[in-house]
Amino acid sequence: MEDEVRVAVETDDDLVTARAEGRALAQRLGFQRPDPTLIATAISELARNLVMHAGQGEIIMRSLREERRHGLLVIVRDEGPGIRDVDAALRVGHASRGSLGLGLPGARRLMDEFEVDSRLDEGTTITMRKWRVRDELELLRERRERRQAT
Amino acid sequence: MSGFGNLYLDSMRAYVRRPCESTLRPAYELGRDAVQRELSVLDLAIAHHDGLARALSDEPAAPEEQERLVRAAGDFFLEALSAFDMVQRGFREARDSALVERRHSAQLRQLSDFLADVSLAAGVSGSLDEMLRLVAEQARELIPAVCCIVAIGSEDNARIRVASFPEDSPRWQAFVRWVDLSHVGAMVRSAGRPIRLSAEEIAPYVGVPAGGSTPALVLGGWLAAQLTALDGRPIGSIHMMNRRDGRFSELDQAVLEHLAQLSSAAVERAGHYGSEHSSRPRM
Repeated sequence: MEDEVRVAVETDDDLVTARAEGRALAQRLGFQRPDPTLIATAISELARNLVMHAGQGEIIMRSLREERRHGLLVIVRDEGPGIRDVDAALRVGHASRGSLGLGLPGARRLMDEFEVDSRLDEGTTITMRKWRVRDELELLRERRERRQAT
Repeated sequence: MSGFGNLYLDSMRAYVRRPCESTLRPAYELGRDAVQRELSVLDLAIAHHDGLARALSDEPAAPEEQERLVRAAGDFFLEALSAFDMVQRGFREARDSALVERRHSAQLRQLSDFLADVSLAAGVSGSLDEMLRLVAEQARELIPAVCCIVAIGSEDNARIRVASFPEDSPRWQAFVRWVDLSHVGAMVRSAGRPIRLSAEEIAPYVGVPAGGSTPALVLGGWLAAQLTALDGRPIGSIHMMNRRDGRFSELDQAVLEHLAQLSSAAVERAGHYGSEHSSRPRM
């Protein structure tokens, strides 16, 4: 069963909800410390940007599942002004907030995969994933459960 | 720092009394604030330990409650540290880029030395093959590839002049005798810049001879650049096959481009030298 959470983000207070949901989902998926904290931090960075630049938007968090790994997908989307130069925005030093490696470049570094799709005057969708490698025991247990179920 | 320390203490106290996301969020904000104030991770550690000591002395509690308090304070500290981690990762990335750039500079210096060697070879012996052998061997030094082939001639009559590969490999020997570079040559010409192809991308254009009693050669990747005369005429091409430790990179592509430019000039110079030399009346 796919685990999905959606959080509408409009005010600074919504950051708390988004962080809590992201952290809780990471823990449910078996991410070990400090990963849930890092995931919550990446969500916070993007949610801050969203409130600041677009005013409102949505954060979708979903579990990912592959044979050898589990993961967490986070989609942050808005219908704001868009990012004029995505490559520049991902570089450290682009904006004052990102000058020390916080903001967009900071979030990118905390996650395993990071994609930005932005169109001027249409909005921005950021998709990021973090993976957790599954150990052999867990895989064996799942295979046994599948065999028993069939 | 004392202002930051007091704020840290108050926020941590609020969290350990009532651990939840809304009381944890100030830790994240404090971590960001510390990074922006350019405090060090040691400053944060001092603020945390001072705060924890005060919290423990101000609120005497049973041992199990103290353990809970210390654990909660640890979670708060971890949250504050996440901003430092984010920045630290940026520093590591910058350091790695600097290392790549340094390697690139060293390679360019090597290329420059190589140009002097090539000019010497062309000037002293006048042998184009000898010079091209230097090119191929040097290319395998700069870009760790298993095989390098240099073909000379315009698009219709280009032919392999030299190849460099492990001497004890009959498979590469057979490959070099057998390979048809016309498709890749046409691709480089139409691209107008060096091309980098993966094993899957090159497979439809270049076959490999059957291995016979030995296992067949496997092409793992291909890098190719055109040799061009000053007037823009294609005068040959240089091909690298199978990077020794993985896939060819953008840096390899850039290095091959430099190498092709230097080689093009040297090939053209050797051609001029050769024609001047042969047109001189023999004494």
